[in-house]
Amino acid sequence: MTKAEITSKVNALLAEEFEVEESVITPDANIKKTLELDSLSLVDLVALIDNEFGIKTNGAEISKVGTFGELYDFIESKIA
Amino acid sequence: MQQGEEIKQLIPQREPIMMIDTFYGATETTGKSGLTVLADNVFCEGGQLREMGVIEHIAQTCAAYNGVKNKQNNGEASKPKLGYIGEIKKCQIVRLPRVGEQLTTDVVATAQVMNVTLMEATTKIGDETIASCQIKLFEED
Amino acid sequence: MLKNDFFTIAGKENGEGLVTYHVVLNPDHNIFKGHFPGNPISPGVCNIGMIKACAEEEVGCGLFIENLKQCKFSHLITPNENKELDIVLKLETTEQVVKIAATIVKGDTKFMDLKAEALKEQKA
Repeated sequence: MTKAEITSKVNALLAEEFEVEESVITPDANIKKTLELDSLSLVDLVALIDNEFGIKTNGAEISKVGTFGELYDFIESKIA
Repeated sequence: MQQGEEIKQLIPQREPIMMIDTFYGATETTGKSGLTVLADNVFCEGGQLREMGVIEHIAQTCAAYNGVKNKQNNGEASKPKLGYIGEIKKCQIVRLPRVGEQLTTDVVATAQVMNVTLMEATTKIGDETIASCQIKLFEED
Repeated sequence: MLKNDFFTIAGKENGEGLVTYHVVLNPDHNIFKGHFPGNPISPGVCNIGMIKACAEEEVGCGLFIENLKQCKFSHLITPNENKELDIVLKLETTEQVVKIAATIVKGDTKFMDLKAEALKEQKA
């Protein structure tokens, strides 16, 4: 899967689940602020990504991810 | 398998709100518990275990799973941590259990971030599914 | 089940499409002895139960919650510090089904919100 494919997949997925416009999801935007995530909804993000990409993310890893750009990189490294 | 008083090693809840009486065991991501509905259950009314009792039973199954994990990670002597329901989604209750019936609940942990665990639960009486839900459990450090 | 035991209804106010029940918890209730010993916290399911009891009061019959679509607990309710609470209900009632949207608040603090569908129960 290319980076572009990961990006468009993630954006569509998150826009739907967290009910935001896809246009607000940019590589430099902060994930938690943009999606208004709290400690409870962060776990939804993990479940969604794990399920979609067939990976297993642990809490410590996802906590280090700040922006959407970092999230795409993270997923790419996991499925590589 | 843990039963009766041994359950207190796994969950922080105490009488009159203990809603599991058996814990069949846990794997890396799953847990299974049981409860026989007694007439003096605090959530029983008119011979039925009400919704609150069913949901609390599910929540305590998740708590017991966490209790087992906690012992594996921090030693057999570790006390169960206090935990709370953070969120419940898509909770369907098909029917209420009657006094004398035995519930079994299977939970699967689907994701965990810090002290929040997301779990899928299915509750059965025999082979009949009577409830299912998605639940987030929040655990204190 | 919980009404007049775990909590009491102190009053209610009708708003626009909403009704607010003022409720008072009973910190001496047995449930607090087990949840948790020396650290009383209202169980999430009891908060759901209080919403259900107020909805039953409003529609005038028993309810069976068959579908709890979503329910989020934002703040813990402790019976000593949060003894008085407001339960705000928005109900849509048809012949058989009651759609419930509810929050438990006090002042600026939101403790929980809930969306559910309940069936009316025939009183025996």
